[in-house]
Amino acid sequence: MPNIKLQSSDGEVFDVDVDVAKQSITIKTMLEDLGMDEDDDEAIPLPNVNSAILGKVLEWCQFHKDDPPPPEDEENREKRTDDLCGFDIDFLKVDQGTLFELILAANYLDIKGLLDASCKTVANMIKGKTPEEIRKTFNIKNDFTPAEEEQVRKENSWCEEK
Amino acid sequence: MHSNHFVYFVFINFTQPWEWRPSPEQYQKAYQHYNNKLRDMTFGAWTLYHRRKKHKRAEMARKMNLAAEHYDFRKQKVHFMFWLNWVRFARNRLDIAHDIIKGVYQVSLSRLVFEAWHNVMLDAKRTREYFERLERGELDGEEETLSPRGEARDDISLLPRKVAVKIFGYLDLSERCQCAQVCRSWKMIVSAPYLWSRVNLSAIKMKASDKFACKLLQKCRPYLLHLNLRACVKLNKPTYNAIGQCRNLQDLNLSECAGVNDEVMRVILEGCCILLYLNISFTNITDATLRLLAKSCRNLQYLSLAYCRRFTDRGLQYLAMGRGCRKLVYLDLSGSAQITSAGYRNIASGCSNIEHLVVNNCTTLRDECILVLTAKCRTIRSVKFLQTPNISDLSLKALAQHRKLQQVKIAGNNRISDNSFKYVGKMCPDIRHLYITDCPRITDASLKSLAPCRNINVINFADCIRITDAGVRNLVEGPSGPKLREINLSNCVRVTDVSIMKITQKCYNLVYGTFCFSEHITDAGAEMLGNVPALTSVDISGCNITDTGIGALGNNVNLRDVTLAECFQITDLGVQKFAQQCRDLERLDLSHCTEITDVAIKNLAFCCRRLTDLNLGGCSNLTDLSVRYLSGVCHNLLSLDISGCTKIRDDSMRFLRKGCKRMKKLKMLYCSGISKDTYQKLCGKIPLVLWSDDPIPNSFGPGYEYLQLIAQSNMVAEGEMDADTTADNKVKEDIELKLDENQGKLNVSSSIEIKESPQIEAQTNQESQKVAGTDDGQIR
Repeated sequence: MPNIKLQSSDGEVFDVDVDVAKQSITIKTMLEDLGMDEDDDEAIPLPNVNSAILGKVLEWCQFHKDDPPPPEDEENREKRTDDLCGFDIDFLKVDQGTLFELILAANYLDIKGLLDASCKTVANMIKGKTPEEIRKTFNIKNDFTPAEEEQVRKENSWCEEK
Repeated sequence: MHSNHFVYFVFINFTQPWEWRPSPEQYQKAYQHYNNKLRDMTFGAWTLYHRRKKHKRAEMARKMNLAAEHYDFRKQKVHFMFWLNWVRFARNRLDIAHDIIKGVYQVSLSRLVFEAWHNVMLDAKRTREYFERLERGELDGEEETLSPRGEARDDISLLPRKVAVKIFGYLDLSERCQCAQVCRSWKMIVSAPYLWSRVNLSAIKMKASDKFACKLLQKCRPYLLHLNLRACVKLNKPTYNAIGQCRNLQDLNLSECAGVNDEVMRVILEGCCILLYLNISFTNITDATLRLLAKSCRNLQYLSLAYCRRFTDRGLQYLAMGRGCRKLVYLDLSGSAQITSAGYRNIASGCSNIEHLVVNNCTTLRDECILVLTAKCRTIRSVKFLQTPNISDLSLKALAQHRKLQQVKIAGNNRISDNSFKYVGKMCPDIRHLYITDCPRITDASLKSLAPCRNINVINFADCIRITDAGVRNLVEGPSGPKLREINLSNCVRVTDVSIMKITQKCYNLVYGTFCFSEHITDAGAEMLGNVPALTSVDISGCNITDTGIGALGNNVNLRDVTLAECFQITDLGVQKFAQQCRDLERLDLSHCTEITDVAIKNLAFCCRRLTDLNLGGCSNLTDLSVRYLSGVCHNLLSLDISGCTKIRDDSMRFLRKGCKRMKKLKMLYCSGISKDTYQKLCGKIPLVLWSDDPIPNSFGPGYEYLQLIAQSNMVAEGEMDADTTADNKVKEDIELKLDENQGKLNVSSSIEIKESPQIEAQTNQESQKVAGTDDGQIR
């Protein structure tokens, strides 16, 4: 398997399998458009990702490189769920800062699976919480004035009635 | 003589006395003098000549120098001019840039100033309000700092807007409303049009009221593209009127909405003219709706009329009348027993672009219907005839003749024989998906005829009991062998290890393999399956597997989903060996493996910590210890089945509640050790809990009939399910199977979306009375 080199923003060079790296559409198009030679010694610079995050991203890509597409036949279909697989759950058990850096990296590198998984993780953190709990979770300051807050609450109250 | 004469004459002349006669010396001298003079003259002339020449040369050199100097000067001058022009141009450009930058600078400066002023104003206002409130004594001492402004400083607001919207896209309506109340920037993000373009009320179908739906539709009216109201039974006229106002709607699902009739459809269709996708299955519409459809929705591509029993052949004629729905690509007429061949002729004459045809559960569908349809519709690519027993080889021949078929699904048909696939194999090189289950006349000859096809990805010949190793060998040795991704040979009782060997040799891209209930598949087969690296999902339930086999199957560390139900010979040792290798396992079904005990579960929990689904139904040796192992380690468990494990008692459920917080589904039927109290406690934590403390009935496994019954109920449910099969492969499907505990009915819903515009999404779901009946019988 040919390898390529990826350079993080802080200068660390990662030597990775092409198939692993190509899960990133950004890197894939870069390789295709620039016609980069696969055994080229030059590292691809990734100025938006630091080495800690790039290491994690590549760990995710390594695990998911052989993921098969979902089955087409109905018999198999009931077995599918939209939930995250066990690896992703464990993988995304990180502090919030890292999680959001991973989202940004996945967005920049255009890795759909990782972006989906990390966004779902954040959505799960929001689910079932009251606004006050959400603020606590994400350390957000309530910048509504009490009057505004009342107004917004009224505006959104219809959702609860069903 | 002549000289003598001359000399004489001279002598004569010199005879004169006054005449002087020069001496020879004088001659000599004169001659010399003359010579000298001549030489001087010649030399002078020569010198003069050369001097002139030299002078001329010097003159020329001087001139050349002058010319060169002149040339250089000119050259410098020209260059200088060029340079000068360039400098002027550059300076000009700089001036322009300077002007622009100055402009931008001024604008941004004024903006900054304005913003600062605005902030100051806001602050001042807030301070004033604060003091006013202070004066009125409204502040009850709570600490409130005056933040300068709603600056987005939290992580989500700082994400690119697209990503933030994506996160909120995973939340449902009420959760989004909660989010809107968090802070100003969240309120902004939640109001993104994309989040309001897709509304699905079928998730809260029992609760959704008219008032709620009207408010919702009013709010998202301009953005709404996809609306799914499947089985929202409480909705009535006001909601339908509101739908008519959503003019951008492209995708509408009104399946199972009892209130939908011609009157309602008139209101909706007159408003929504750009519908691409319409699902009105299980409603009371009649021919009038079809007539209206043809008039207002000319772009319609997907139409499901499944189980609408009140429209007739004549309605289908209306559908194609005038400019009608001629772009129709997908048509579902399942369960429409009233439609005869005249109806199909009407469809064929109007909608000749149909590519996908679904006619399930229709005993009246006969060959002549298909014949008249295929006479005009030449582009049919996929057909689905589940539980449609009266079509035969003639139909398939007619469908195959246009060479376009890619997908054929037939289930429960006694008339389809090998002849059908002779035509399909010969005429349809593009065929890629074959789902031929429970067709007893199919033999190895069919597989042999299909062998030359080059693009088959999926085969499912479940319950075609006459298939043997020879047929499987023929098929996988053909050009499709390496392309096969999914194989299902469930209950093909004559299939043996030889088939497995051939499959593992040829189908190195096999991902999903199902080979249940073939007693001839033994440890050798399991061992070979352990050597297919691409295989991630394997089902060898009810095969003749022992600990050796399951241990060898574990050699394939890529396995994620393994079903070993009813492999009675498996013991703790086999499970241990297997689990130690497949550490990434996510789903495991060990139901009715009656030999296994807590030790197996201990090893399993220890090794496979990422398990999400586990079925231990009928493993009656398991005790509380098993549940405690699982809840201690497998925190990602989403679904657990411990039905019939009578030794499991209330105590362990406490651990389950604490350990497995993600649990979505817990099945514990016939668990006499678990009390109703515990069940009710669990209901608060887990969305779906099934429980009963009845004694284990005879029909609850182990036994082939039991599983067959489940398989059958699944199949019927699928048969009634509206499938998607929309154009091309850009189809994403989600299916969720929910067993509604209260009613004991099997609900299957499927949703589809096409990613490109026209964006289509659909969800259909039906409840099969028949299935419900059998299920009821099972469970109660």
